[in-house]
Amino acid sequence: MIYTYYLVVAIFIGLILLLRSKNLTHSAVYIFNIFQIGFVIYLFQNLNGAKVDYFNYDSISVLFACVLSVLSFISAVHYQVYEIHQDELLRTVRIHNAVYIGFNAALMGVYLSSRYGMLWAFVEATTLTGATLIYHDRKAVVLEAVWKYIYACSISITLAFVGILFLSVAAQEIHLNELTFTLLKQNALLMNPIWLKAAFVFILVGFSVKMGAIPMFNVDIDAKDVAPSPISGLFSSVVLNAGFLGIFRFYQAFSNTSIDTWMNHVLLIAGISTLFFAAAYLMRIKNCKRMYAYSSMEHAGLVLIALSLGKVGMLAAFLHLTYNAILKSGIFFQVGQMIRINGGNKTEIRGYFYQNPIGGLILLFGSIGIMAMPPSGLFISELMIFKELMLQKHWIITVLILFALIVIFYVLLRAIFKMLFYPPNPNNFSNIKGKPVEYVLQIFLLGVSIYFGIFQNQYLFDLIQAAIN
Amino acid sequence: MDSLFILLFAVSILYFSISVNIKRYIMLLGFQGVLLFLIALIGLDELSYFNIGFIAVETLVFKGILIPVYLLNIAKRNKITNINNFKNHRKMKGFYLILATISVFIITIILGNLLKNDFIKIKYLSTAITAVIMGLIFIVINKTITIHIISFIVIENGVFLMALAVGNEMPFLINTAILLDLFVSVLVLGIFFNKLTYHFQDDSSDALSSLKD
Repeated sequence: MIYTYYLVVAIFIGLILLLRSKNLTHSAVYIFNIFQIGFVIYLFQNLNGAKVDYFNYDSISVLFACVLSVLSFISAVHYQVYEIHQDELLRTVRIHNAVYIGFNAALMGVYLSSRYGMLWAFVEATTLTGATLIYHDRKAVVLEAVWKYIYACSISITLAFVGILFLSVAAQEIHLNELTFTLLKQNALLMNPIWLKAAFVFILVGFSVKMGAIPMFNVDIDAKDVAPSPISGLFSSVVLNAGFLGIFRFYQAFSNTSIDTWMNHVLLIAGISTLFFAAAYLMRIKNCKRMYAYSSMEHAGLVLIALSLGKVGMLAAFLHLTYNAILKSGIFFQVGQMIRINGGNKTEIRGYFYQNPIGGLILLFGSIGIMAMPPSGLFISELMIFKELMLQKHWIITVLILFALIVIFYVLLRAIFKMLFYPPNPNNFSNIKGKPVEYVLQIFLLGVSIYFGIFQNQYLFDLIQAAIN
Repeated sequence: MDSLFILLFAVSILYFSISVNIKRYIMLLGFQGVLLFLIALIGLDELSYFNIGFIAVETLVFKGILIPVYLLNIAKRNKITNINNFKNHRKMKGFYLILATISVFIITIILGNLLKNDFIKIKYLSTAITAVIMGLIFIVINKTITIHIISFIVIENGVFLMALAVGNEMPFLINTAILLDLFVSVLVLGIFFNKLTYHFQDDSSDALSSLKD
C-alpha cells in the first residue's frame, strides 16, 4: 500500500504540472488529500502490521500521519483563499500545489520510515520541498529566508548524517549491517556507548533545525515568518513533529542502555536553553508571525524537556506535540487572515477584534490555548510535565521552566491584547472579509483542542502508550 | 597507495587555509573530487560495477568537473574573483587558520587512535573529521556567500570520506551520502545561489540581514 501511496503522489504531481487551470490544480490537491486521509485509515487498520522493507506502521507514525492528513487538507483550503487574494499566476499555483503534494509525501516518509538512512533521506526531501513552498512570494526578503533555510538545513542534515555514520560504526562492531529501529533497539545493550553518545549529539543538532530548537532555530523562525501562512502553520506543526521523531527514534532505541541518563541530561539542557531563548527573543518581538513562531520554539523546548523525563514524559511529549500541532496550525491560518485584512501588515496590527470579531475570538481563544490555559489540551500535557518534574525532584529546573513560561505568558498576552483590543489604526482598515470556510475549519481545530482538554481521549493515550512500551 | 591520496586530501584542506583566491579554491574542490574517486576505488573492497559507476559519476563528474566549472562560471558572471574582497571578508588571519587546521588534525588523529577498531579506517576518519570541522570554521570566519558554498562542499567531501571510512560493510550509506551531494549541487548551488547573486548583487552575507525580529 505504501508504494501505491507514492505512485499516487507521482501521478498527482505530474497531473498538476500539466493542468491549465488554477481551480483544477486545487481540486487535484483536495482529491489527493482525501486519498491521503483514506491511506491513514488504512494505516490505522493495519497498525504494527507493515510487511514492507523500509517502512513501519507503528502507533506513533500513524498518529503523526493522521495529524498530517487532517492539517494538510485544511492548509490546502486556506492556501486557495490566500492565492485568490494574492491573484497569483497559474504557474506559481501549479508549482506550489505540485510541490505541496511532494512535501506531504516526504513528511509521510519521515513518519513511516523504519530505518535511519530512509528517515534521513526523507528529512532532506522535506527541506527541498519545504524551501520551494516558502519561496512562494518570490520577493528579495523571501529569497534571503529561503537561502538561509536551505543552507542551515543542509548543514544540519549533513551533521545528522555524520551521527548516522557514527551509529553505523557502533552497529558494525556487533556485526549489525542494517540500521532499522527494531534491530537497533534489540541490540542496543551490546553497542559501544562512546559511538552512541557521539551519534546522539550529531543527530540532536541535525534534527533541531526541523524542530525549531537549539541550536539551529533561527532559520526556522525566518521561514515561518516569510512563508504563506498556510505553510507556516504546517511548519509549526507537522514539520516540528518530523524533527522530533528523528530524535525520538534514536532516544527510544537506546533508552535502556548506559547512555540513558546522559541522553536525558543533554535533552534537558537543550530543552531549557530552547525555552529561555524563546522567552528572550519574544520579549522584543513586534512581528505577529515571528511571535507565534517563537511560541512554537517554546513548545519544542517543552517537548525536549518532557522527553528527558522517562516514560511519563514521553507520553506528555507526544500529547503536547499532537495538541500543539492542532492548535498552532489553526492560529497560523487565522494570522494569515488577519494579515490579509490588515493589508499585509505584520508588525503594527491594532484593534483586530473590531475589524473581524469572529477572527478575533478565534485568535484570542487559540492564543490562550497555546499558553496552555484550560480547557486547552496543552494544559493536560504541561501538567503532566510539571507533575513528573516534581516527582523526580527537579525543583530548580521546575522553577526555571516556570519562570520562562511566566515571561512568555506575559509577553504573548500583552502582544495579543494590543493586536485585538487597542484602538485600531485607521490606515490599516480594509473591506476584506474572511471566508466562512476558513472560520469553520479554524473553529474545528480549536474545538478539537478543547475537546482533548476536557475529555481525555483514552484511544489517543493507548495509542501513544503502545508506542512507548 | 590510499595513504598518499589521503595525505594529498589533507594537504588540500591546509591549502584552503592559506589561499585567498576564488579560482584556487574552486580548483581545490575539483582536485578533492578526483582524490575522493581514487580513494573510493582503492579503499572499498567489495563494490559492484553499479556502485563503482555511481561513485565515478558522483566524484569525478560532479565533484571533479561539473561543480567547479559551474562555480567558476557563477564567479565570473558575478565578478567575484577579486582577491582583496576575500581577504577583507575573512575574520581570521591565514597564519592562525593554518595553526587551527594543524591543531584540528592532531586532535582528530589522537581521537581516531583512541577509538580504533577493526571496522573503521582511522586515516580516513581523522582526515574526514578535520575536513568537516575546518569547513565549519571556514563558514564562521568568512562573510562571502561564495566561500560559504565552497566551505559547505568541503564539509560534504569530508562526510563522503567519512562514509568511506565506515562504509565498507554498508554501501547503502555511501549511496545516501551521494544522494546528499546531488540534492545540494542541484538545488542549493543551482537555483538559489543564482537568484541570490542576481537579487543582491553583493557577495557578502551582510547583504542578507533584512530579516529581523
